Amino acid sequence: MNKKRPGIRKGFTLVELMITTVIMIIVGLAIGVVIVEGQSGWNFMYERMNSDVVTDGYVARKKFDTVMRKASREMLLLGEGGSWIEVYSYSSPSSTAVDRYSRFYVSDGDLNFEYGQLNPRVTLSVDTVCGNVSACTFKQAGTSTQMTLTLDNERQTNTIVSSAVTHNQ
Amino acid sequence: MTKLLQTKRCGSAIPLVVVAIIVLLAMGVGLLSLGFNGRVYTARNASGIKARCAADAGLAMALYEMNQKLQVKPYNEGILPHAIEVKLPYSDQVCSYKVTGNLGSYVITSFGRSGQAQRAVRATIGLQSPFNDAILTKESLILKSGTTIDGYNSDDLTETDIELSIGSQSAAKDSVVLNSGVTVEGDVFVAPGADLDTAIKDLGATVTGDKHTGEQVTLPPVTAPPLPNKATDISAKGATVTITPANNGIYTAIDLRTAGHPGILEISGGDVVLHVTGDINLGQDCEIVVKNDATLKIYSDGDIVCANGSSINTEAPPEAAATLQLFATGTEAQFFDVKAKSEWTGTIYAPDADVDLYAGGDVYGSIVAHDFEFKAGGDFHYDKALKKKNTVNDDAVFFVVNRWYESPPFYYPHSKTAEIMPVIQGESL
Repeated sequence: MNKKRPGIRKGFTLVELMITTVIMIIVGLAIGVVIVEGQSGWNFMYERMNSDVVTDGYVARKKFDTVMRKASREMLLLGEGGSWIEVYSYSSPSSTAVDRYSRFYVSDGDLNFEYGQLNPRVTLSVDTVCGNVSACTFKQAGTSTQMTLTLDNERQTNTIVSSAVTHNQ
Repeated sequence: MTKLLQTKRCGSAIPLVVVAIIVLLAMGVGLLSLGFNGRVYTARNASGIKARCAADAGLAMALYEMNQKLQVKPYNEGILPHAIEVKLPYSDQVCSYKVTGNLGSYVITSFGRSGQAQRAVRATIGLQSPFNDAILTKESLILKSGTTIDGYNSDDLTETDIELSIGSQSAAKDSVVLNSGVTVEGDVFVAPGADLDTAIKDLGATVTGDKHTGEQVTLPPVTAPPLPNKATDISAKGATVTITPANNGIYTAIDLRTAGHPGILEISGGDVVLHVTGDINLGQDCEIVVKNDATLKIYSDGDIVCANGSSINTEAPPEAAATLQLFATGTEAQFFDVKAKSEWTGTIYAPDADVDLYAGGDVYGSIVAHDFEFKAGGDFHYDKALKKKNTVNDDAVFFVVNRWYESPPFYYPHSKTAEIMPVIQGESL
């Protein structure tokens, strides 16, 4: 009768170690892949929601909306092919005639907003609303205006369409 | 194995798993947070737009109520429109509005709410004449070849640079037909959404202004003022009949016939107002003549039919176009066939009638019709003075928004609009 020799075996066999190592590698890789994928997904989503082309698009839409809604219905100028738009408004409730102009136009990849007074025409301010503009067109239908703006920062393209109705006489 | 299990050596598998779970949880929470923030942002944005639309809707409702109020003559300022917490259908949008001020300086304040977002707009409103355009139709407008449309100001004949427009509220094909040689010294417009190339049929016309789509105004119906019911017609057969303000009233018809001599109806002695419940028929060479000391308003429930050589006209045209005013007040389809032997001065307000105008010379005034065909031998001159025809008791005037202001987005701690309205009205928008 063979007697067992307890305590003589210490540690793991080579096979056990190899199996454990393989399992650890597989699990580690899997976790790594999940983490990397998750990270890149998070980055992608964050970029989609907070990149400059997205936030700039939001700012441009708000600006266009605000300016157009308070514009006069009397007159509106559109550039060739809708490349720019100019509307007119009142500087104060006591104004008896339109005395301010607002103009959106694209220059060197920037969407600019020019604001000034009429009669005589004096430019009061020129602001850059957003950069990375790859395309921008304006349209008019009745008292409605529309801006189709495409922003491209070479990593992401964002196209926004903003429409507004002019309200002032 | 048992011994191995009995050893007190710590394994590393469980901490590793716990670390992995924590990392994955952190990432999951990050993604959820990102998505949640995006969702909140979108919802807030959508609520802002909806609140703004609700405020606009409140403004439109108040304006509509003011125009309904204006229909009742004489105008009574009385109680001005206001409403609190009006729920818009099929949405969570709520609007409240209030009209304040008095005649000449009415202010509409409107407040819109959707979810947490709140917006307010304020507008001053004023009266607009129905004759803001030289020619306005609901459907078709046809100008004969060679016609020139330009303007003058009967209040100031030295004024030469008159801005005018003609157009249709229809977007259908050939809504405006400009035959060859037509010259419009102003703008031509059709309804929003129209294809300008098809809606305006240009057969060789010259338009010095723009062709564009124009604002749609609601043309109000006209109701004849209260007048004594004469229960008879006005007829003149081979004779001259004179009508003065003492004869103002409701008549069943006007019938002028030639019997050896043409029947003539002379209007003299002041402002004559006739409400004709039937047709107005002018036989060959018959005339309705508004003398120099008079003006004439005809509210016609029926048709106006002018035979060849007949005329409805002022004695010495051109004069102020408001001297002769024709209104269509019928409830069914009407046809106005208006003729003049020479030049014609007047206005026709018939937004639901088919109007044909033929004059031997130029035409001075303004036309509002459902369908209009200009057949005159001369040109059409728009009287700019008609734009000033805008007191509350004038016919067919209506309120429009003159100035419009929007408040910046705000969040008032109280949700009840009734509590917010006084705050808005005290706020400088």
